[in-house]
Amino acid sequence: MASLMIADWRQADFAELYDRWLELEALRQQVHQRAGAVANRQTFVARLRLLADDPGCVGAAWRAGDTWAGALVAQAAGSSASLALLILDLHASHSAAGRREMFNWLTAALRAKGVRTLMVALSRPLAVEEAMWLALGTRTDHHTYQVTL
Amino acid sequence: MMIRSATQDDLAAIGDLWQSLVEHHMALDAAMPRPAADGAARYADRLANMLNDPYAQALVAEVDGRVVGYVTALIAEMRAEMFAEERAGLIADIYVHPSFRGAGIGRALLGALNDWFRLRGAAYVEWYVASRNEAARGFWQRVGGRDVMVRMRLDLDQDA
Repeated sequence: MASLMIADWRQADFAELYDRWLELEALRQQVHQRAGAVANRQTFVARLRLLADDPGCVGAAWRAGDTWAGALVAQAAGSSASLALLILDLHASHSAAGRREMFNWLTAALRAKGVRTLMVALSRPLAVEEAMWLALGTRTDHHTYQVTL
Repeated sequence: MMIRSATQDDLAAIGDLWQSLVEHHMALDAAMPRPAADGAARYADRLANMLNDPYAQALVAEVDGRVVGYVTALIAEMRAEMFAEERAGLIADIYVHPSFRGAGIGRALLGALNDWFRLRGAAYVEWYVASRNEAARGFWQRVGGRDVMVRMRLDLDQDA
């Protein structure tokens, strides 16, 4: 099993996180049989740099062996926070431990900031992803419906 | 039944319907936000600011001169900058008085709103529904809504 390391997300290689995000997005599109526009690497990395400059952003990145395998980042505003970045290697054997450790890091950092509520928006969620959040103690709050005109 | 654009004269009636909507949500889920003491009046004030906004719409359903339902909506760029831009319609609130449900008023409000969205170039429409509002979720599925996103919530002071 690859060794796990959790670090402040700002230490992660953003370009490498893009590869993980792309894999997850491809899986979503495959499962939901829907093609959609995806960001290129440059745009994605630029967005992460913007988030990294925001002092309200807290989060953890997860390194498995020599690969940045995931990141969990929330943007706090007053007493609530929203998940700003979710990148997970859902099918790796070491995923569950990495997820739990990243989540514990994130919630501890949010509590230290005085945040009382975390909101997590999951776009076209995969069943395994939704189950993961339920296992971490979150509850389903709202559904977003969409109709193409 | 008539569907028409809301006017200043409708604001108090819409505020009362909003109050009923919020109370309905609180009955379904105690964690839903509670209205301020003057919440209905504040809502009406907010709506008044929308009436002249070309990117906002408020429609009412009127039966025998009484406002029995309404919908409010916006045109917005919904996607984060890392996705290709698409103009979207966002439904903010929709409510039909319980005594007038089952008569197609919700569908009529939605049909008129979708015409307005199309005129303004929206490619798709999105709206949020409380997870515990099973009746509303059923309605949206019947009118062809696809469940594309869920919002999860964690109360950190209870989780510790």
